[in-house]
Amino acid sequence: MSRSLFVAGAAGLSALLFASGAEAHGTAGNRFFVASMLVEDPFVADELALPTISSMRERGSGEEPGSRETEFEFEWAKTITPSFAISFEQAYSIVKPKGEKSVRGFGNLEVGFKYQVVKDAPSEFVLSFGVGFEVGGWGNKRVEADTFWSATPTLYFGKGFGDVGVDFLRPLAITGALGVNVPFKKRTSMTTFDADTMDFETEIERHYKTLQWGMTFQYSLPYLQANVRDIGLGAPFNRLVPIVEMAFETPLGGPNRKTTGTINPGLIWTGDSIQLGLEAQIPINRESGKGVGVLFQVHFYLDDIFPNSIGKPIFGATK
Amino acid sequence: MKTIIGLVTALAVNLLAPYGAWAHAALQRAEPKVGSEVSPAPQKVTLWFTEALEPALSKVEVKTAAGKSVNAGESKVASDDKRRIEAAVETLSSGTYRVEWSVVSVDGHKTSGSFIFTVK
Repeated sequence: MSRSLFVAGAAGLSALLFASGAEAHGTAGNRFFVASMLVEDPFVADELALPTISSMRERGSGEEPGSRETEFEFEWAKTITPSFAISFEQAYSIVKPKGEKSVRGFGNLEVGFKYQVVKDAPSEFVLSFGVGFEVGGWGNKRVEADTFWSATPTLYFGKGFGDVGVDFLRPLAITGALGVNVPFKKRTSMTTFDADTMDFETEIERHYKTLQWGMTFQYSLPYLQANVRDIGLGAPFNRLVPIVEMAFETPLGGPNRKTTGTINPGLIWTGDSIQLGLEAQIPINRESGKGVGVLFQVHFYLDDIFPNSIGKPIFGATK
Repeated sequence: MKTIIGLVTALAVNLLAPYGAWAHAALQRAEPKVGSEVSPAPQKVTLWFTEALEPALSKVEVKTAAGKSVNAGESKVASDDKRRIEAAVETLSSGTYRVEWSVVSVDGHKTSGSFIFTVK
């Protein structure tokens, strides 16, 4: 490769990576999008979710009893450039089957990369794509952490309705994510010895691609107050964002292709450098859970807390 | 350790005092109020933010429905309260006006927004 071609290539890559000139986290024009808890948001930002706590009951099947699964999780996202970030996510699970002892352990580490392609201020629109990797074998098998890696390329978008002509709709925004989880292993076989038959039994579990899709609808009272009409809301209501999140999984192969997921109505309160979120988790069918679960999160905006150190991109101007 | 102290402090500040010292400047209130109808016509537009502003990088512009500026001079961050910015306006006739603001808080974060008010 000639030196000039190399320089041109490097300049092109640099322009691509540094293109979007990020402003404040989660903003597109007048719109501030909250960091959603269930569905990954489309923004590239320095942020820390610590902790995210969820609790949900699962139905039993066959001889397996129903159980309650409680997860404690953290996610840290770090901007490399203003439009490119890497994230790390780790959960600790406690599974309590009915009438049995609980099992607990760490799940697999998840590492994500996200690139913000478009951010258009007038239309309050943002588009990103990313890929997340689940590190197989990292976590504990007792909490069903997979022993194999998988990757999930995903497209993210966000759109605020500030540009529509109807006042009561202008505080509304939607975000969405659409991805395909691709396991790096097609099947796992497990051989066990059956003492009754005095024979070895081999069980084969097949792993299929899964469509992962979700959306959020968020109605920003801060946006209403600051951009549409001051209706005199005081604290803490002037910082509240009622939100409905929904996340689903649809297997793309195998005999059972039923979609599972939850719909989460809740509230997010946005402070100056943190947000607090609380949502109910409503399973969409029997396979998705039993009863109503709960999801809670404390989320730190690291670019506000540490604007001159870990809260800013490693390369490139940030503001 | 500094990171942990920073996070705990951020949590405490946010919970105990809704408007902390680090973050983006968000519009807290305005006079005339966002989306309001007023009479008589105001002589200035005043905006209060949640954070102190950088005077050299913060501005407010008031425009007619046709997009013509009606500012009477440059907008100014108040010297006695850095969270307040004012724009004097020309004599306003009846009609709808758009206030467009773009500010930079003292921590360097840029935010912007707009709203309308109507003079009866």
